[in-house]
Amino acid sequence: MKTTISPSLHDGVLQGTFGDVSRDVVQRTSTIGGLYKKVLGASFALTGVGVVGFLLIAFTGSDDRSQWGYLAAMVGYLLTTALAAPMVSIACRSVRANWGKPLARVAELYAITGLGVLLAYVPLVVALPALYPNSDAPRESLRHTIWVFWHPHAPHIYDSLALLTLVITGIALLLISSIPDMADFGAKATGKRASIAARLSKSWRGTQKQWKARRAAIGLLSGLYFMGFLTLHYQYSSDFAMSLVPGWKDSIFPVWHALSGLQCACATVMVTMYALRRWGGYTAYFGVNQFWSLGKIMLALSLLWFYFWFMGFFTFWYGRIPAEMAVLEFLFTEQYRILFLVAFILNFLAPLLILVWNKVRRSTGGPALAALLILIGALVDRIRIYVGSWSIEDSFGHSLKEMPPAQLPTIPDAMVIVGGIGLVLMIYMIVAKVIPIISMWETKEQLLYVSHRSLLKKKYMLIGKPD
Amino acid sequence: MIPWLNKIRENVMVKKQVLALFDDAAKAADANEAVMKEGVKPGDIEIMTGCPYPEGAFGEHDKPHRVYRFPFIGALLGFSMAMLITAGTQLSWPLITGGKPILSLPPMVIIAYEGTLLGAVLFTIVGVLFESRLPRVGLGLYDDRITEGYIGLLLNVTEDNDFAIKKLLQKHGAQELKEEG
Repeated sequence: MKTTISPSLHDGVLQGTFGDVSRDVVQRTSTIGGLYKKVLGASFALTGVGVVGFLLIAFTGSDDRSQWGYLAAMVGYLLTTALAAPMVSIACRSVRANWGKPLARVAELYAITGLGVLLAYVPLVVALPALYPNSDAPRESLRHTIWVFWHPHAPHIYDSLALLTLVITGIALLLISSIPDMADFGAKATGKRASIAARLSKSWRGTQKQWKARRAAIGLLSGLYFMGFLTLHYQYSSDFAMSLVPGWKDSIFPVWHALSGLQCACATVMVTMYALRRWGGYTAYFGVNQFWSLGKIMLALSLLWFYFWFMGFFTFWYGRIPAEMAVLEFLFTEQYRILFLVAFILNFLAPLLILVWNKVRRSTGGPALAALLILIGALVDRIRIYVGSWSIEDSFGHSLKEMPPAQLPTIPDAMVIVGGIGLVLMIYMIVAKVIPIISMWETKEQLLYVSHRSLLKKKYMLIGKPD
Repeated sequence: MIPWLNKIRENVMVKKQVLALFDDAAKAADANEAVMKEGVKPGDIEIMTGCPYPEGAFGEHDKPHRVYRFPFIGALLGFSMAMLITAGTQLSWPLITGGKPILSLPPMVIIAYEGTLLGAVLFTIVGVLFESRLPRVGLGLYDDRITEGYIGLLLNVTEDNDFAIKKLLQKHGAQELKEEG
């Protein structure tokens, strides 16, 4: 891949013509470099490891539900990271943030990984216990869920529907937003990938009506994705964690879960952006401005992470109700204490201490490091929540009768964890070679509205907003 | 002449398409204004660009779209389906617990929300495909240079005004003219 590129970044402003952007991005999308092959190969291998791990658990494990704890954690982690990432492009577009234009596709491309999440979710929904095992006498043993007394498989059906809705919305958003770029790639490049792109964007001509209809659809789907994102976090955290632990009734937890998703969305995009800039050669598109701006949002979300966690924790701790104290003991202060402390440091303290310094925030490495720590912290935290919840044998009752010890990962568990990450990486990398990873039409739009202007002795950036 | 007869006459007149390519957006805007003054109707002009320009930037007439109607219809259908499913399942499995009504509203709200969302999403997709007329069988007149910053002015012209319009477009700086039909 070439290192000196046109267009280029000059004082934070992208310099070049529409043609420069088109040629550069099309060339990068059609080229398959050595590093790309290696990383894709590694992601294939990791996915393979994950599949083997899954098969080992499915066919050689016990009938115990706890064996799926790490898979539940992995799915929870992917909902928090990969499926949350499109929220960054949605937020940037909705507030017309100019700095967010080059990274919009980086964020929304993660929507396609929802197909992998759907696959990994299937065994979990099979393993999830019914609301009540005896349908003739549901009150005898009932899990406390958001579904009150409904048919015993209400969570299974409606949680699946929620995930499916989010995945469909995300993919629709991705495809509709990338039609012009796929058309450009399909017309200028050759080969199988270009022909797929051309077929997906068939008959796109860029008429004013097409742009207008597309823009309206992006706005609508963005709003619907946000709604679906919140619903899914509410349902998944309630049904696959809270309702499995007797006595855990916390209205703040699903909100905190979704908020953690927003923090991880920024972190996921930040790390991807750093990798693309550092190793992919996309230096013209991702400047300090992008890292700085996203870093500020990430800092605010890290502070909110603490605020929401503390509000949930404090209510339980202050109330001193035995059933709730048992939950605190199990998930925070005893069995999973170490995991909680690691998550607390990596999701709150470390990003705060890194991003509080403007000089560090105004770099590419500083925010990327904070983002990486957040992603590691979130994984640890999801393991704490879901492995802990799935290790409870008796989910029917009003309080925890006995607390199982912290469940350490077995080799198949570890394989499932790395496999999940590998699967997302693999899908993302494959699709990024059909749908250009840089939103060309938005980058071109940026060229229309951003320029340098002198004021006395200094130049400053002039940004136009069309509406 | 009687208006409706005039309309029929216009429709039966042989029309062809002309695509004018401009390397400068300002020239394209001027040309668009000029052809409208020459009598070409707004419905016979399409402006093609490589990125979205603000509405009215080329002096074009605002062409309304109906994308926003689709999600409302979808949401209404999704909501109705969800209510039908939730009420249906609860009534066919009537469990009276703690004196609560059979139709328990809190979980019904969640499903109604999900159904509404899914209906709106699916109909939005249909809406954008319909309004963008995608996929079309043929691309029609087009030039790849539009993605590189050229502006395409696509006009439906008749045999009567064909020559005059092309001359006008060239006068306003059209780099190239393509014809079809």
